[in-house]
Amino acid sequence: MTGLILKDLYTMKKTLIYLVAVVVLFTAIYSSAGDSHFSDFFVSIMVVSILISTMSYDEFYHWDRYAAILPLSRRRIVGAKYLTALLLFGMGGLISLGISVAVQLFQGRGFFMDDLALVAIGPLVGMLGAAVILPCYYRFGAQKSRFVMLAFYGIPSILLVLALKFAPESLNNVPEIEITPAGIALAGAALTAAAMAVSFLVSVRILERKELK
Amino acid sequence: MENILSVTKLRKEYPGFHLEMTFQMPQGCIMGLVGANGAGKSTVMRLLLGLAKPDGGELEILGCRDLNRQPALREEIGVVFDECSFPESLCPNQIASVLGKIHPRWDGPWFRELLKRLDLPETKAIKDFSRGMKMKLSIAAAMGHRPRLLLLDEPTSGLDPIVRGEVLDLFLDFIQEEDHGVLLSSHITSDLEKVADYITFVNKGKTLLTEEKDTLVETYGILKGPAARIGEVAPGDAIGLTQTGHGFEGLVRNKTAAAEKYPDLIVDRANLEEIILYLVREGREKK
Repeated sequence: MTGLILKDLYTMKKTLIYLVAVVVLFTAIYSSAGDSHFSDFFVSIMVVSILISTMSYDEFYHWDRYAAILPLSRRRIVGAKYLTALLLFGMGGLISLGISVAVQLFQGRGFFMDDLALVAIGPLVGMLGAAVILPCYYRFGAQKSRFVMLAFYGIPSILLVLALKFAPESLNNVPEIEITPAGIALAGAALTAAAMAVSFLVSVRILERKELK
Repeated sequence: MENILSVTKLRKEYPGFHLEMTFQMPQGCIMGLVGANGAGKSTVMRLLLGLAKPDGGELEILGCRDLNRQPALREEIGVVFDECSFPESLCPNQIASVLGKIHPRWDGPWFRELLKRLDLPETKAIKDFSRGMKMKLSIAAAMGHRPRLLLLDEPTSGLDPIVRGEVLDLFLDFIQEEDHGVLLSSHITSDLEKVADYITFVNKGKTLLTEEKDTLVETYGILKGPAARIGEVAPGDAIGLTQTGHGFEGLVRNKTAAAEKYPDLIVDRANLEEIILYLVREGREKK
């Protein structure tokens, strides 16, 4: 299984380097404007893009067919892709953490538990997206899963913007709940873990039944 | 001799395509699976590998009926598809690292030896490889874990004659171990004539013949004569009997018997390509 993860890392090596460079650049721009948590979500979206790129490469080179003739069960093939996703989000999270700590300290604000929670929310939202996208990839292919990704992140964003523009009072009527960033992160972690587990089982079932051409 | 592969009335249905094949491949030999594009060669390969589910019939590969139930048995099998499956940003050394972590029996020094023998660079990205180099790399990767059985789907298509020769020599070396086997799908009959011990001919999803190659070329023949004497040939004695510019010719299943029956006509040796062409023609005429 580590071989399959290694393959993805080799394939995306240049893109990963490019990602780090872009994140550092944009963070420098945004942090100068006082936003120290810009990188949290930006990195996650970039990581999801990288994950989808690995799927596009797999599809283009018929890698799933090749992997299926190796001495690995299809469950392990799917498992490797999920572990790759977790690894990428882990790396992305560490990059976000490093950047946030550096920016906060540079701005003389210190780094607190709430900041850590805010850093964690980014990768968690990303992983939630991956939990939706991965089964779509195994069922419909990389191209369609790209649209699913756009819908997953785009539709809530559009709804929020529309609500702010046309019915801002509706957001004011949302009952206030006493919840800290740490609480959101913990609830998000539980939700993401459950979503990833269900998503993995669905993906395994899809790939086990799939005829590979 | 024990069969390394056995396919009995193996059936697969797709819209507009029906496959039903039967053949056995003994170990220690190379079997050529020959047929036109779309005949069903790749479908058989996919069924054998468990990439597609059969709709009926039986198959046995290394004694196993379904590789998906015994994925570890795939360690005994090396596969080459008609296209290179490795991402083009990788180099052979990286492929060795990847496959070395997947195959328990991966033999790094042997893989490097194969690269050297096939004149492939270890550190050059695949995107800079020619089609021939990519195919040679796929073959080296398929053999790097020292499998017993090679399943090769059109491994020589698009290769120049020199590279084809190198690759075929590699298969001949591989088969020196008597428990090994190679199923080689191709429509280049000259390659099969050079290396195959058995020929299975598939046409429109059906096994048209499965036979030892030497038996085929020794028994089949081309019956020829002047156009005026075409009427002397009894119906059923020659397959695909046609008039040519100089006379007539048709395929006979037993050239010795044909030579005895028609002593005044010519019976030439038939090569594999001719045998296949006439059998396809016969199939069309029966329709």
